[in-house]
Amino acid sequence: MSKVPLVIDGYLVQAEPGETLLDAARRAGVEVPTLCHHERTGTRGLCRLCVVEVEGWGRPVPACATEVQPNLVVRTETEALADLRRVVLELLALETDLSLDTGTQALLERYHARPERWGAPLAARREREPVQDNPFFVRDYAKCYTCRRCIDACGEGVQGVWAYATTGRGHAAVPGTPLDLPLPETPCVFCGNCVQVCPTGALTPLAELAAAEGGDA
Amino acid sequence: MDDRPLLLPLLDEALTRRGWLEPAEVEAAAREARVPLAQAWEAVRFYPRYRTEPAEKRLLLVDDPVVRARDFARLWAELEDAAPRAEARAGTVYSQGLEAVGPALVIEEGARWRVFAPVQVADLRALAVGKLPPHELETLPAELARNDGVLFEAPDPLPEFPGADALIAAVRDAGLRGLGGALFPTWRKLEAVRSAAGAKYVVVNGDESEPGNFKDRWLMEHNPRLVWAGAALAARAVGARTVYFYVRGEYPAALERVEAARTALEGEGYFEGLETHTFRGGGLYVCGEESALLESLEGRRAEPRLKPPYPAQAGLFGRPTLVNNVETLAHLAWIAAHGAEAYRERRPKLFSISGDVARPGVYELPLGTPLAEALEAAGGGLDGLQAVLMGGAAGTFLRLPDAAELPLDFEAPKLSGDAVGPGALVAFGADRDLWAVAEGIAAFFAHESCGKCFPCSLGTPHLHAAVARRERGPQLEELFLALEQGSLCGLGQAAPWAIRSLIRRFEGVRT
Repeated sequence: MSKVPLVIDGYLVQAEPGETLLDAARRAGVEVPTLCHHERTGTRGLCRLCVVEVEGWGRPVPACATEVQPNLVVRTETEALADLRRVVLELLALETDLSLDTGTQALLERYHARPERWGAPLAARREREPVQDNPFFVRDYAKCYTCRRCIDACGEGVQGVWAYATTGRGHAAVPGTPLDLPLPETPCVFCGNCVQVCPTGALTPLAELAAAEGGDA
Repeated sequence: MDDRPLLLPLLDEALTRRGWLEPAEVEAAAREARVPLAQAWEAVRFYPRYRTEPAEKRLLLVDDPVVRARDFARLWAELEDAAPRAEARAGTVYSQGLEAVGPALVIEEGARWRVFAPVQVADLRALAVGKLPPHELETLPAELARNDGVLFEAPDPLPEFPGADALIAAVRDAGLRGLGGALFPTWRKLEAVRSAAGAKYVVVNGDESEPGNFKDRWLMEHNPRLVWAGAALAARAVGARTVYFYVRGEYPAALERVEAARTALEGEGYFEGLETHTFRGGGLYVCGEESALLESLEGRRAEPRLKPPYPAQAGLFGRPTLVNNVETLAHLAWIAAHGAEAYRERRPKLFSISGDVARPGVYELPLGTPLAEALEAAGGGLDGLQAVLMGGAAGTFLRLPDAAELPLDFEAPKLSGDAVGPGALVAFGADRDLWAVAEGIAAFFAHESCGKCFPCSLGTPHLHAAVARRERGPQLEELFLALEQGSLCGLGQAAPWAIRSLIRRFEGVRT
């Protein structure tokens, strides 16, 4: 198959047919920020941080969910995109405990985010109590921004056991379990995929937490 | 073709037993629908009607742009006061298509849902002593169709199928567009689905939940035959064998009448060779977004899909699917009966006109009618009016008399960043508080956000908070842009429009 030529941030890129704008940009050395996308779980299109401008198209499109096309002219860093990303990151940081999420912390810095300018948090995420219902890891949803990687890893994306379910709507949407059961009573096989793909530290092995606490002492 | 039973009807069946669901019933529904329990639980935890514990009696004030502009605060205070003494909980529900007959109250007991309109402060006070409001309403009054619309009656006999080529050509020549608000040329969708191979579907979008609109409700309650005729004709034109009519979850009378019309037409042989179904929608605004609607038909959370692929390419169960609004299909049937030329001469469009006009209701007016004329038809003189909310919550405020001559057409309003949308016109007199209306709209979007994409789920609550503080200025515009440019679907994208138009056009007025 012949390559797909397109321009990303001024660079001429020869992309593979069928690949996403995000992958084409990465191979060209352009790092587009993203929170939700994960190759293994198939998660994409939720966080909207990776939206990029394509010349001649109306609204910016998510780079993780848009296929390359010949001769597209793509911009991944414009003032408008930076403004959009800053607002999303600020609201995210305002509402979520990102203390273990070094990736998002770095993005907050990169986009000069000032979460405090939006006032008080509204989503009550930070008040969520950690769930400790299994001997392996803690589910601390005060740290969760519902990117759904864990749900995808457990269900359609990787494992196919369906031990997680998205519950609630809007800012109250959060991963839960079928019938709200403790994880050991769900089809969970403790494969650990969910913990591995969690970007925020909401799912953290108990051993790691114990080590961190030990280190503090 | 997928022959699995659909999940939501199975959950609904269990729900009717006692008004809430036991875990075993959810498990049984999941088994029967052959979906993971996790998926069934996602549906239960997404759609508001699937309660999992006994529900208290609830008294729900209908919260829409008309009541927000008037005495929402007073009615709400009265209801909150009366509810405990009526051994009920006070709450609100968003627009129920009752803008022309409100203020309205819903009394919910278990799965039973009774609507009263109009209600006065005294009626709410009387709830405390066990007295029901005097006017119970099962359907929109038929006479709310206020003029001589050709869409208010079904031709008898219903039009025969003229062949796919002829029908699609007629729809194209007629200039019919998607009248749910997106205004996409209908013949293109028909052509796209027709040219696809294999099994395909037609889905009627009867999930009218856009505040200020009630024309689809009227059609479903009072002229469902015409809509079914359009759906059947469209199915034959695209080569689909199966039709689903998705009726808004909170429109029980519409659901009943759509189903009655379906049974009757089936008896008459009109659906020969077609399989038709009436489906009770999930009961959320986002269900009207066509790909979210398909998700909900499939028994999942009604969350908009990433596009492409569009439903015409991969829709219901991954098959090419024609999704059309109720009114669009009514027009299609009329075009099949009378031809493109007769249609072009009339250019009919239904408008839901409410608020400060003497005769609120559904009006059929020719596209291109100037705004002032449309308002006059409903008995609203320009003198006393300051504004119109056009389209709905996902619409804009127009300033009067500045916009008096604006032609209500597909293209003309775009010049000023406006759109006719599904055709709502909510009129506001000079003394109405437009900020109160805007606050209601912002609350509505925050409540209806599905939770899939970050800009909308995080941005809409902060938009609401900012409007409640009557905030303006550059930081708010940043939030507008994040929502409009960043959100995955039209819900989040449109959330700031009405508020932005209010700030731009009415700055300095009543702030």
